[in-house]
Amino acid sequence: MDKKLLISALQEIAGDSNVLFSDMDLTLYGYDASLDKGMPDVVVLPGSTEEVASVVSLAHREDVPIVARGSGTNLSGGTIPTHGGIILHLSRMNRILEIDIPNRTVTVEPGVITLDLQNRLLEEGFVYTPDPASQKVSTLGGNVGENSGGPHCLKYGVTTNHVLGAEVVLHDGNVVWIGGKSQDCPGYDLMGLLVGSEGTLGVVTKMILRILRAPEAIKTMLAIYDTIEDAGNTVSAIIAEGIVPATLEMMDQLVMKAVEESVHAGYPLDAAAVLIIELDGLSDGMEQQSQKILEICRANGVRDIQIAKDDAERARLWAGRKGAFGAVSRLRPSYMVCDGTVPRTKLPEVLNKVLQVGEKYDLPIGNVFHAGDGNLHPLILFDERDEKELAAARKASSEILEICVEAGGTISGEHGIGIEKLQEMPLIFSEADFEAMRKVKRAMDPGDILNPGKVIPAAQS
Amino acid sequence: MNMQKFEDIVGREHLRTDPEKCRRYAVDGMIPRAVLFPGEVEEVSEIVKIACREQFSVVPWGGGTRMTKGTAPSHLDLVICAERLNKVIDIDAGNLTVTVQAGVRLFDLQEAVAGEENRCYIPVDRGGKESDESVCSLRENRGCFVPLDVPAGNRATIGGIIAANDSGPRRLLYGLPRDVVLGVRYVAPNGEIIGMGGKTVKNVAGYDLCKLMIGSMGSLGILCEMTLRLLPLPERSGTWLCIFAGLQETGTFVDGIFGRPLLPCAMEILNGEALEGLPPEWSEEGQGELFGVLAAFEGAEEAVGRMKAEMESLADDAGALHKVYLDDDEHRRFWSRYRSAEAALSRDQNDAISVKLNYPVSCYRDVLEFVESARMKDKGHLASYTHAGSGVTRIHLLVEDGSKDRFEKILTWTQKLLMHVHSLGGNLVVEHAGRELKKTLPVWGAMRDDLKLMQWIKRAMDPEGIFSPGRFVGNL
Repeated sequence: MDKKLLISALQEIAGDSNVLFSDMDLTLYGYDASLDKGMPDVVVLPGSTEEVASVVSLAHREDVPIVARGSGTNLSGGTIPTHGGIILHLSRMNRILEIDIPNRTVTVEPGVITLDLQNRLLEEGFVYTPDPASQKVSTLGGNVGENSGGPHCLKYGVTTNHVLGAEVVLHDGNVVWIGGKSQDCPGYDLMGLLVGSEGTLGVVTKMILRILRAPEAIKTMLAIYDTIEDAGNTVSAIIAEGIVPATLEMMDQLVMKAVEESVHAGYPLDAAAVLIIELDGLSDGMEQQSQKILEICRANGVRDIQIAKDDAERARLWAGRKGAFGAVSRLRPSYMVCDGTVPRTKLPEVLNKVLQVGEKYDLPIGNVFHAGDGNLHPLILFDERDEKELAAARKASSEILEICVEAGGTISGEHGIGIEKLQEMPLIFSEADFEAMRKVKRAMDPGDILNPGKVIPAAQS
Repeated sequence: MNMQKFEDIVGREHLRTDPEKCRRYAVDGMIPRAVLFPGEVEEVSEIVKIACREQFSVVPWGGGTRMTKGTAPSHLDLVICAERLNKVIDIDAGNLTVTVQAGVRLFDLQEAVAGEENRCYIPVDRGGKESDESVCSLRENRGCFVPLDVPAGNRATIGGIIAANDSGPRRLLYGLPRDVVLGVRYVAPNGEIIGMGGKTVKNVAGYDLCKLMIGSMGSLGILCEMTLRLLPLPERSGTWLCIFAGLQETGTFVDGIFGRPLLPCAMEILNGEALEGLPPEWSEEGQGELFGVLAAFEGAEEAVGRMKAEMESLADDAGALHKVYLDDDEHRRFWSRYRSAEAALSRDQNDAISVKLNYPVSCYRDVLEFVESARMKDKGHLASYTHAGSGVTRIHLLVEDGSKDRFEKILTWTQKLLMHVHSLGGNLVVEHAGRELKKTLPVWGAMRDDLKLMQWIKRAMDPEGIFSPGRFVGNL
């Protein structure tokens, strides 16, 4: 379709002010939080399900690729318009439609900011637990698309464990509800399929999320270590002991230094690593459990343990962790984050191999990650303007993911595949596995207009 | 049908073709032409490749405890039984995961992981080298459990539980199969072996086809291996069995618990008939008009002590007529017996039907009122088991005389019940009924708009329509 015609058709649907096509706008919508870039033909900001349906229907009719997105915080290139076409930015659909305390659900539009919902729910004494570090800007629609994780997923599960139903615009512009407020809807678990499909199977326009009563008590501890090995051993020991804390996060020296310079969380700069260990639940038994954790820390050579005295101190500890990715960019112009995840018993071993990869390629690697899940986030720091460094960073990243797979793990725990991790997909999947996924894609989007080229490597012909 | 090829794959002793022997594996009265007992995933794959080529219809079979669920198959050539796929492949208690083949029985698996001593990891020393010896947990009781909880756990297989998406009272705390399954290996309808997910508790690589397989009732392939989460066995546990005069008091108690930050693992409401059906040591005569609540909790000693005390006072405040506390061992014994008791009702008997209702969690009182008023009017035998907090009620209804009149009555009532829960935003599934009744009952409840997506997926994954044809939602 002629670009001018496309623009005017979209203006007809969403109104002139909600269609963007200046060079600057298109450049701004050409990237996300990963390293790659693309360029859309046009950006549209719909205000309702009907408008989304009309846009998708138009794209379907005219065979134009369409990339639905929220705030674009994803780390794998999932929202980059690699095939041009339409960017469907859902930020205007940002209403919390219903908070249903008796049924323990909320109904929201996809553009609601994750933290906004969480703050609103706290007023009612409830929580929505998935808490990606980008929750201040990330949208719930984006979280559903990526199946986002976060520190508290150790105990409570990732996004997919908290989504009950959704209104979905299908590839042809038809609108269908899947799931609902009731659990156990008869039929295939379409919701489970859709969460984490990175916008390649449909566009979610409303979501029903499960909420939980806020825990009665929370205890947050900072355990400080002189070696990374001791910290890693502590994590494996806590899990092996059978304790499932709410969070079990690790940060190494390089990351702590960057964080201290930007948010002043009070981390010890001379330590090799820290663990943020949080317990939540009933107040009864929490003291005993934290004593047990202290014992394990001591048995593994902890230097010091600080316990947050109040909410303000707890918030400060977390501000450092949540701001870590941002802070690290102070050190070098670019970073590449690997999202490899390993069985928890393998953590000390794999962490050590990751450090060796950094030495091999002479690139600084910072570690800030969900240790309790075995979900590593080695941040490879480099300068993308230096082609040699960029190539080395890509190689190092691939090698780290290989190490994770060899240890019985996977290439992405929560960031998704997008385009950045496509080349590593054959490490864990066979051609038959890919073909099974392609069948699903073809069934849900026969014209391949919904975020084409993402998640599944193209078939080799 | 040429049986030689199948015999070549599984061996003569693992193939049955004698109609008399195959009768045991009939699905809704339809007797398969052959029953196969493969011992390896590769054998399953070979069998399915032939079935795909020859257009034989296939129904997978686990422990056979849920085979009465679903509409009658439109064809049935082969039953593939997972009985010999019964290896526990990997217990990684340090990582809190277990990988098993589909034919392992839940009961056996629970025994295996409960005695698991080896909760260990390999530490790395300060020089960055792995230690020669692994370090193990210091906990006295190192055992684990699989957080799945189903009726008939002694006979049900892991593959069957996952394929039927089965659950029980403790789902309130531990979740559903979709929260427990981390990875699957299955044989697709074209015979290919497909692997999804793995041993990590987080995994977003590729589409989550595990979720599609869970609850697909053998319509998209046959599950062969699964990796499941484990949890450490709780330190302490307990259950209050409280008896109330009516629904009002019952609701006051249940809502009182949910109104506090307590974390019960099960909150089961039983009507009078269900109470009388409890094993004899826990039931009393003459409770037919009453209600019972089983409030169970598992966890740290201090938390269990607190819940025991708070729930006791909540029960007194709500006017409990009678209450019994079941501590640790008795709690475990009760719940294993309880599950069998419920399962016994839904066993292969043509004179009972079982219906599962799902609805938004706050609607349980409304649903129970509807059910009880029908029971009073009809004076028939109707036992109801409600997973409060999960929005699920299971109803067991005796068909009794089996007359045409009685059939009509049951049909009308089930339809009314479906309309009622549907108006609340829920649905109904017939989990067990005789062949004749199933022909007219709304076996999969009310169809919804998303059926067309399910049709798309079924057509894409099983284009020849050979896997459990006609048994699933919308006769897929």
